[in-house]
Amino acid sequence: MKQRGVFLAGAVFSVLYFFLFPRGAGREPVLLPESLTPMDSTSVTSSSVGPTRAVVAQGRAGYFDSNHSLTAFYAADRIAANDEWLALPGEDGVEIIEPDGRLRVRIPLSGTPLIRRDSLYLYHEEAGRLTQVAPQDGRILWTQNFLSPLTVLDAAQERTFVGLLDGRAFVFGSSGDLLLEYRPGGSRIEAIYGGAFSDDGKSLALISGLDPQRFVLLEERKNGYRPVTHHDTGTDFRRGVPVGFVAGGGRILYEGNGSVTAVDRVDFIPRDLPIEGYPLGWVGGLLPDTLMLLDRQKDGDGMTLLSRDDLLLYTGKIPSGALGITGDGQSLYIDTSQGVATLEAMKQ
Amino acid sequence: MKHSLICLLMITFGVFSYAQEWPDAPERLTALFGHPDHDGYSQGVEFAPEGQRIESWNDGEVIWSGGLNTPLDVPSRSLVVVAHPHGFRSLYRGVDPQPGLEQEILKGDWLGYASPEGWNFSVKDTQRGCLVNPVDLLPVREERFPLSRKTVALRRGKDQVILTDSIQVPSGVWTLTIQDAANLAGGGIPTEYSLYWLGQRVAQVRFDALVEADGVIMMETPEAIEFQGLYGAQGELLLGSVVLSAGRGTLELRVKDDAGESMAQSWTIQVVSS
Repeated sequence: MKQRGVFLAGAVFSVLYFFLFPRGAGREPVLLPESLTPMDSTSVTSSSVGPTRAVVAQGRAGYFDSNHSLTAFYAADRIAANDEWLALPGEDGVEIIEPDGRLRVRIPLSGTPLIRRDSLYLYHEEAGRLTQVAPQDGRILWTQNFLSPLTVLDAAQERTFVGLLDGRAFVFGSSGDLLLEYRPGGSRIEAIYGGAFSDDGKSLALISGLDPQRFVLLEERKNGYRPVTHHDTGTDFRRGVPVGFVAGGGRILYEGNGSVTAVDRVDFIPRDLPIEGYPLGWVGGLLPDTLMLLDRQKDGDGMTLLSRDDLLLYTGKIPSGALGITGDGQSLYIDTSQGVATLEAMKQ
Repeated sequence: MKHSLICLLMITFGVFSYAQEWPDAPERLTALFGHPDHDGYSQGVEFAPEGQRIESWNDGEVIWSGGLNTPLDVPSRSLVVVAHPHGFRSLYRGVDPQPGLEQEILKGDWLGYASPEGWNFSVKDTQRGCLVNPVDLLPVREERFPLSRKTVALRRGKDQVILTDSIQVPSGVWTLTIQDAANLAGGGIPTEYSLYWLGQRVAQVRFDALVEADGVIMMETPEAIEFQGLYGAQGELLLGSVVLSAGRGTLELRVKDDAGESMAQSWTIQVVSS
């Protein structure tokens, strides 16, 4: 009887230990610094190895090859770029050029070029005009005019998501047809401060209003987009608020009060992720099932790598003054005032 | 007696406090509401860049402050937006917000500085879902304009209409005339007169010298223009012709003086079919 009790207690303890305490997986994720390349025309190398990747920040665009060498560099007041092409204002409109500098097409329309998931838009702020343009040939796909400033622009699956400061959100189809007009309401002051599309274009998340400021998630159902959850964020931002989908659309991140707040689509409960300073950005999927957060701390900028269950995998420091962060499957590009720092993520 | 004086002061203060404020000096106005801007049009009025302080048009609450460097990556000019009573929202594009900008503000409060590229002021009526011409909401600028209203008129043949606000004018081609155009209040010498109708410039004359003819001071243009084409029988300046078609519009006269100062005066005109 006593032996059986001891055995049972041991079994319970083992089960608890297995499920409650994290275990080493054998190999730990690390970020290895690869290069620090100044973003200017003097650092451009003539040869290129493999496909190039665009890094864009604050009026500068650079293309980096597989060896993290800068193969092309462009600077303009308003510039937009992806891995295949870039757009910048010219004398009589906007020019789309190849990374090697060849002119692809000239669009005779003024505006600031904006790229969202390979879709190209021209936004004329004073006139409140948004135009979607085919980047292949410069064809104008549609134009919409708004009386209120644009605060959100995102695109997915040939759909465009627009948020306005007057509190309205729109989704347009590939030909500019209106798929959704939505006012989140529920706040003393109506406004849209942030928002994002999921990769499949079937979900959209919003940060809206003041007093209270609210998070709203909409999903596409048979009869259109419908709100599925909302909550007060406890914030009072009077500027743009970053919002994004990560983990294959299963999680939504937005800026909280000195934190990054995560909403999982399993239970829709907001959870603050552990960072020390002011959130600057995030990159999902740098390594499988991980989330990289970048924050500004008192003594510089910091990186935090979290597992799928938000367990801390890695923390590190980078020079202060990070202007932007982008990443792909394995490389992390951090644009700093000294240049673009490239880090390789791997398990060792 | 003392109470009456206090009441009078309170009423006077109340009346004045009701009027809205110009967010920038009216003399700095460079473009009107709806003026063509590349391949679009302006949703507000434009002011010249000087790095000057910009003030709130009315009491309200700051609901947006920023623009550049926002995490959203929507590039734009710096923007301050203020929500006002009765559903009005004023937008100050190209204004860098001052660091200690409060959320609750009173009219005339300091919002920020004008950016070097100039700045734009627009007002939206959110209850009616439309833009408002900001000039219609602001105090008249006549006391700041160096010409008296009586000296500016529209002329067509023998017909003459002295310009005042909200006048009715038959449609057709009219010539704008300015009496005593060489003399500006404050002693300035005009170097350029421009006339705008519906936001588009329709006439402009530049001057580079003053001459005396028959005891009258006249202005000379750098280009050769016939005297009869520039001055009328009484020595009034004939600025140019404007085609007024039926509808309501704003006629604006701008003048630059030799000190580089720009001044403007506008009139809202109802044009009826003749």
